[in-house]
Amino acid sequence: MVKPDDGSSKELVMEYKDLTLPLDHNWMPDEVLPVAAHFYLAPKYHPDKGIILGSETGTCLTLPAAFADFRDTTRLHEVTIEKLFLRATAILDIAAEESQEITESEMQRAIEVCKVARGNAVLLRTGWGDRGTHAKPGSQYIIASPHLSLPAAELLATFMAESESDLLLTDLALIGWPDKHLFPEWNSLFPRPGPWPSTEAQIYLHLYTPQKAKADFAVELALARSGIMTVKRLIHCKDLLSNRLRVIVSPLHIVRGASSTCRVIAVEGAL
Amino acid sequence: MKLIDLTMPVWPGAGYGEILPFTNTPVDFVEYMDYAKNGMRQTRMKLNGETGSPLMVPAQHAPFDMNPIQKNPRFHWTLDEIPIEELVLHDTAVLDISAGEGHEINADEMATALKVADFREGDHVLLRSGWGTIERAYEMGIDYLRKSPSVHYEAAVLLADKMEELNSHIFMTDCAFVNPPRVQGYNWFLGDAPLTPLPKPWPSAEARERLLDMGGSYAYAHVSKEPSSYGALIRKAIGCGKCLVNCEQITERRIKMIILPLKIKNGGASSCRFVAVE
Repeated sequence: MVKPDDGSSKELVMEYKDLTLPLDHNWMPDEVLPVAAHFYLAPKYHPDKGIILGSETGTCLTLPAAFADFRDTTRLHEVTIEKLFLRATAILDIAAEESQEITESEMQRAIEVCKVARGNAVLLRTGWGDRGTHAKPGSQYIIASPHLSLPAAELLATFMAESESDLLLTDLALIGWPDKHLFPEWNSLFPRPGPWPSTEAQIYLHLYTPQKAKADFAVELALARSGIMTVKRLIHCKDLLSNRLRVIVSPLHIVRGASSTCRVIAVEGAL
Repeated sequence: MKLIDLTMPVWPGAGYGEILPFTNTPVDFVEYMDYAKNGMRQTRMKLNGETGSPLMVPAQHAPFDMNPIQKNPRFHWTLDEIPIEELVLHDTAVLDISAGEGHEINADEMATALKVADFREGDHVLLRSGWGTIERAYEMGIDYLRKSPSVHYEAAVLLADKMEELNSHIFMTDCAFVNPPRVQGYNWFLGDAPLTPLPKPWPSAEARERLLDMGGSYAYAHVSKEPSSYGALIRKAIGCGKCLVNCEQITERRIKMIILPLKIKNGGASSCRFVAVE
């Protein structure tokens, strides 16, 4: 039992909240871009019987090693369990509207009021995962996601480095905004093709060079450069009442993996 | 607070994906974006409900077949319906039965272990045989499963009854199979007429023929005439987990378990993360 942050005498029991986007074989809201892989469960007598998913399907953990520049860094099976399970976490609140780009000054204001103890994870809560967009048909969940500007991401990376924090969680569907190549080029195709392995996605990625990826994923690279692991596409974060919580980030235990779909649970209250 | 990861890793070619005809198909990764060509890596993964250390509910073949693999189970939840309190920091009793290569845990051993364990009302149960280690799984390949210790039917019934009596909901073990391999792999890799060389799992021609031999369905049973130990346990459980590792690192008789399968809507089984908290 713990006392809440507001100093009131009411005590809290330990409570668990699932912040994970469900993996729905009928439809996934994140299959918009060619970099996403189609999630499906093939029926049991189908040749593909089993679970087929992308390494970033749904709520997912991405390590810096997902990018070529940092491929010599820690892989999934090497991440120590204490970095992902029951890790103390601070909430960084920046309420963001549809399609809003979070600016450096907005990040600065949020950081000024955020209390992060040394080594804590940081949960950036924008409200995007609580609007229900992830459960509605269409591509809005991805293409209207708020996101970080590059200066905001660089400021956040500096702040986290100073706090010795290497785990960022967020309810954003996309952390950066791939508007140099991916969005304008892929969205110019009408109707929009399916994700990988559609023929169009395979052709697109065949021509998608490292230079294009660096331009599109500049925000993610800024975070990776600081050694920050990121978890995106959380839902139901508004339910987190306590500003002192622990999170469990539970990816698949993939040997030499660089990213994985994961389950994320918030634990509020004393252990 | 000490955290111990009890999860079998996932890698292409892992023995658990190569040894059975249906229930655990091979792990396969396709790098559709790679460092050299794209400057970043994205992987398409083909897994199965029993990949790595899995958690399986009674309706294991859900969502496409919602029938439980044993009739009249105590629980009917799919993976996404399991209450989170059952999965996070749940009290768990460690049941110690040291078992080596090929050993089938019998009813006497189970009775003795139940007598000395600190198994309390509402606890999950972790049966520790000592078999499960990552190094052994890496080195032995499919023999890690073929030679695994297991639970004899009579012992499984005894434990299942005790679980019901104590309102225990989840069973876990570091055995690679719950059923004896001679039962699970009857006339596939062991038994009167094992197939040599061992065929690939589904959708190989041999697996398809096996399906014909089983009358077109593998929903309820293997082809052995012996009863299913796993069946006895899953009838009384929300879910069963197997193929755990590192259990020898647990130093206490009671622990708290974090058990997190993928949140598959209406899912029946998935690779899972198992972490003990002391």
